[in-house]
Amino acid sequence: MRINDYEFIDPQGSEVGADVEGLGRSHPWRLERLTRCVEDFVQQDTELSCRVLAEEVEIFLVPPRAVLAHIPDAAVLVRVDHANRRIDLIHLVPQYGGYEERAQWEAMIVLAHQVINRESGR
Amino acid sequence: MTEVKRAVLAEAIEDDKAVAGVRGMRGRLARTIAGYGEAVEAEGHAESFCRELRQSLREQRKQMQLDQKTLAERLDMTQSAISKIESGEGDFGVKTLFRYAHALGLRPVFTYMAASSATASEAERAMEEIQVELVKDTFHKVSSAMAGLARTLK
Repeated sequence: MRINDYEFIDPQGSEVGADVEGLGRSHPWRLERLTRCVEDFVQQDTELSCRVLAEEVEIFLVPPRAVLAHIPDAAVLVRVDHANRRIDLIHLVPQYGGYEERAQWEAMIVLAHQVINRESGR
Repeated sequence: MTEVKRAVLAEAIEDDKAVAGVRGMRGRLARTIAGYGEAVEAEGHAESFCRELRQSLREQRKQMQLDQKTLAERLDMTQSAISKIESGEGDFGVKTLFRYAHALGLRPVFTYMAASSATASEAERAMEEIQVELVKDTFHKVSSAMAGLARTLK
């Protein structure tokens, strides 16, 4: 599904927004690579992206897991709310990939479920 | 405002809503975080560099009067893959570049120069120097081979 006409919510003022700014201060080049990946993500079909959770609200890992497994880098969980046609960042991982990847991936799934359950009051 | 920043701004205006949103966030961060603006600008240059490489491959193919379908057959790829290499966005592999050039009977040659002096005319001059060196090298090899051949014939 194409999401390029959805609204992207700037995380300014939120917890993840503070994390993004912190990453920008400590590792500006890493943040810029991540921002480029988010830019690519919103332009491509979501079927080609790395889906963590598929519900009414979908959650994706950006950049994709296959890329991060080989080149550890910053990553972000991105929520795509189809009903409201909105995209936002929900969790930043300053360093994803390498030996810890499998454990990190499992943590991403748990976190994605927590976010969805918290919002739907489950 | 630098050329890259102007280009980023122009793209943000013309592009899709979501892309414009991400670029808006980038712009805000670049204004408020010291050092981030430099990373944005360098990444912009990297994007331009990839675009120029893609364009140069397309131009080389056209100079050789090859269509995408013929080149795709040489590389065991689809025509759409060739089209994507030539006009896609963002990063693409060094191996891809090498394979594409090889299929055209070419070998890419790289050089480096100070980022601050990397203007188009200086890049052109550097490439001319490389070409001269390659010609000298080829002349030397041919001369040696001919001398060897002459010795053998004697």
